[in-house]
Amino acid sequence: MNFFVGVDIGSTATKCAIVDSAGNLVSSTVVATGARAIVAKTAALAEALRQIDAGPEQVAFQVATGYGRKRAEADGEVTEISCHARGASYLYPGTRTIVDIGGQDTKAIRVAANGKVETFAMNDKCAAGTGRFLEVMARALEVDLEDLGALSMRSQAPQAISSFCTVFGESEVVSHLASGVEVEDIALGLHEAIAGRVVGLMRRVGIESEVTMSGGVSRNIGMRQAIEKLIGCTMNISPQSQLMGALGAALIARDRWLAAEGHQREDANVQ
Amino acid sequence: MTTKILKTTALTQSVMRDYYASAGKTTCRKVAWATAIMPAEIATAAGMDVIFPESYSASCSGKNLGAQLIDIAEAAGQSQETCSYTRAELGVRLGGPGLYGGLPRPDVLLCCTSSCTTVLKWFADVARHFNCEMIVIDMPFNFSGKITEHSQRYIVKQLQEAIRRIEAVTGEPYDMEKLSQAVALSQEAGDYYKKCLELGTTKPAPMTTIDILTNLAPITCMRGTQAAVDVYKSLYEELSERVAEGYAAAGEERYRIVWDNIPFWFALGKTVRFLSEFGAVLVGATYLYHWVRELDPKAPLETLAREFATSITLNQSVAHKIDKIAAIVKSYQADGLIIHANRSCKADSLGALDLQREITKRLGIPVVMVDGDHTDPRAYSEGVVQTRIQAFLEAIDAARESAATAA
Amino acid sequence: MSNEAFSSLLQRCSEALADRRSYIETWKARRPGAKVVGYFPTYVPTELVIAAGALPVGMWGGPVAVSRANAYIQQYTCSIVRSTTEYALKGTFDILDAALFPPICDAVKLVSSIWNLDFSDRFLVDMVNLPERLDSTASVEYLGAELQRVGDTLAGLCGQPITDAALRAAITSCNRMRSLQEELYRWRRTAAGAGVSLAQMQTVLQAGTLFDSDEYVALLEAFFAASGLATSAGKVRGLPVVVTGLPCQQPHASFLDVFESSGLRVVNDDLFLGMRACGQIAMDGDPYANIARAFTESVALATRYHSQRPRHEFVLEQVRAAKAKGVVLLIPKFCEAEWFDLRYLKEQLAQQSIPCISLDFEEDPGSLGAVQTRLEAFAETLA
Repeated sequence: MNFFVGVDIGSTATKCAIVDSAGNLVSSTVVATGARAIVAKTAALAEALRQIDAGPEQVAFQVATGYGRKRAEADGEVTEISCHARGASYLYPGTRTIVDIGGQDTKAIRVAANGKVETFAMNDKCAAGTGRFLEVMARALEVDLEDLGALSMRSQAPQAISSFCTVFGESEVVSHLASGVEVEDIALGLHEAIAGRVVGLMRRVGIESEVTMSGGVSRNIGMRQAIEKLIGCTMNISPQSQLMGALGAALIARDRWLAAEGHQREDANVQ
Repeated sequence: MTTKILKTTALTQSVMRDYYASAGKTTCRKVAWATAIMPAEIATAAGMDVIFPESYSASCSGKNLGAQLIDIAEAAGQSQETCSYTRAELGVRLGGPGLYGGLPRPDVLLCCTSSCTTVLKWFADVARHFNCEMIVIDMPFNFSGKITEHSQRYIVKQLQEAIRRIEAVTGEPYDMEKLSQAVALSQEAGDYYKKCLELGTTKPAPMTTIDILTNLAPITCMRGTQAAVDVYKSLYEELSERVAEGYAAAGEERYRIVWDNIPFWFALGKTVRFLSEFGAVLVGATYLYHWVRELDPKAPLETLAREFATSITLNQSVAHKIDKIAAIVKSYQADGLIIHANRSCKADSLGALDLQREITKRLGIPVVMVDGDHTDPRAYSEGVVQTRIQAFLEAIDAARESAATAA
Repeated sequence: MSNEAFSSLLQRCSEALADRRSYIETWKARRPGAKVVGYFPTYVPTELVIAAGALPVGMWGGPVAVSRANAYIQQYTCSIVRSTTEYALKGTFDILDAALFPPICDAVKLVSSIWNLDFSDRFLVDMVNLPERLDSTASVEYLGAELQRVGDTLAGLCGQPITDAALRAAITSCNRMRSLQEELYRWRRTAAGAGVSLAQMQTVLQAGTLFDSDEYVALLEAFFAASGLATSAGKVRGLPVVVTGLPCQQPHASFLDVFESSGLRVVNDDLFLGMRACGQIAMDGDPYANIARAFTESVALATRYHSQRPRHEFVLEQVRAAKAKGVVLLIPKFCEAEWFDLRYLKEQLAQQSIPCISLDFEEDPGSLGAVQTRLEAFAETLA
């Protein structure tokens, strides 16, 4: 029985996904990346194999993605953009636009029915519009980051935040607090400002239903609502969203192995 | 404190209302979009309705529509590093909330580079969008501070080419006599306008900078028309009366301040009110002097070429700009100069660092730079600007104290 | 790179560029009293400088840390105007006797004027006032007269008049240089040249903005003479793409290397296109008018306007000529001209179903991980 491995080595967490020869997800793990990509990969893979009682000799092909992909000694390396698209497509075959808001960057991806990337746009030069912005603002508001989304939903009257820069934005927030604006109104204003930037990025690739959201910030219910309000439709959000990159990498590993073997790819059913 | 409202303002507002209401509505009159420093008299003379999208963007900015329009433009892929007038106009073109429901569709574009090179890129985009012709008047930068003979000839030839193109657009033979008449009217309006600026330098100021800016549209947009003459004649008469009675439009003038660069239209009123809390009055703006020209209806093409190429500091050397601004600031007996460090206008902002140093050196007055943008409110932070202005006024006080103790 | 002749050409070019001062001083030592005239992108007719007996040297900036220049130029401008100003303030350009600027955009126009105000004690500063539009019947006459004026200024600086004979000889030399550079682009599209990287092309072309034109012509001729015997580059790897946005500010070589390491092979580009685009200048008649005419017949860059020759046609032609699979649009950060063209080029490319990606860049490469990810992802969409 052949297995295909995808490993997504991020700056803090390393995710591993295994799919079987039919293209079904059978195992996954998450470990801390630590100092060395190769060590994290080995540990994640060992655990994922242990879960399905399989051995390394059954792994036919491995693809690494993410920040540490070049140091993972895998059979292939593919960018997280392509892997995310493939993984999201597996979970939501109807998805055509994906938005991923991470800590340090935000990506918008247009994906075809077969999971291939048509076009993409990224924002990583500026923190506004990423998870980092929310972290900084949560500190300024003296609120836990995890509570920020829920807090924003209590507001009826968002305080507009106009700065396009994290530094200016922080000083705007502080000044609103000093003027007595309610914390939840500022929080909602912040979410709307970020949603505006994110949706602007999404428009660059074209927003086509279904829209899937992934990345750490997708756990923030306030962000989800703010974006959905602007795009006018609800988004797919998977509890497995953290695995999307590794899952896509595993599927791509299978694709490449099959292509090398000259086989036709048979589509697996998604449960 | 209440000030007398200029009576002319009502006239200006009615003139501009009619202008926007009628532009593009008469089928036999073609519509031309022109850049701000374009010799539009050549189009007015051919019976065209001439629209100035930069003026329009400035008005949208003043009415706080800039942010929304800019968002639309940036969502379509326009960079925030491009001139914000052009982003606002693009926002309107793409269906955003522009004043008066937007601008009438152009039949032809008139693009003159004496204000900046950016307009050439912008209008080329507009031409593609509307699939219409763009007539270009390339006015070479006067590097030595003076226009060269070959630049002058080049511009005149392009104006001649432009006239032939305008004939093709209107389908009517061009009447050079009408051009002379349009130039005569422009000069008449311009003469009154210049006299208004001169009266504006009186101490105490008979009108504030906001007053004149509220009455700026006819000289910028109504080139070669009787309506513009009427407005500035009225303003001149009104100001003459005020000066005769020693009327102080802003009351006590503890600090007389001149402004350099395009204002941040969306926050100018607030800034002026903030200044007034300290008895500081914005008595003049260097920007107003772009419309002071010496046109001769007997030599219309030659003088249009020369004057439009040389009357705007943006098309002359930085050295020349500094000299001109120093003279303007001096003429107002100003206590200080505020330079707007306008983020998305390189043509007016580059050279400001030298300007700041030179004005301080030559005139011995404080000069402060405040960050902002003419149409993009995201580049402006009220708290930061007001703090800086307050510190600047304190610097004027300090300079006065030293002068007093030295005396 | 299995082609020894190219390696040798590349090495000579790199060495000279690595120590420009040394190259210039050696050149000057052979010609006592001769002058060195710097020029700013995208184009200055160096024929005039050569005819005056001076060495034209391109001022293409560099990844220098900018600090002194902040007192003259705001930070929201492209890095090339700031880096060249920084070099001027550090004294790096004191070896120049003059600096010439074309009016390609508002930033360059005003910065040249700032140099004129603040650096005229170091060297002569002047503008070669090229028309901003190439399509007026009056542009040729205007430019011819302007070039005569510049010629007079250069003659004054160099203490010798510019004769027609000298100008024609300079035109001959530069025509030959441009012809050889065009040959290099053709060679690069063959199997023999397919291994040449974008960074290597940059080096060879940039050397053309430093070397004495006759010496550079000789180098290129020697290369072509020797490379005729070279074997093919072997299996050609990488997805073929066209790169545009390179006539002015230059990315650092490490940024350009990311193209090949991302699985892309650059088959056509507009590196230093402003300097190459005049093609073959005519020899009969008034040389100033001929240079002017050649300029008005040149390709439209982001910084040159011609109503009948829009830039997208040139980009599409580059794609067709090299059978490229996609286009990379490079934008110098803060460059209005390239930013205005971006939306329009993307639309035109989409209409022809040609995939493209845009990236902005500064002279300082910064962290290349993000660039690598984007270019790799783009390559993955082309595969």
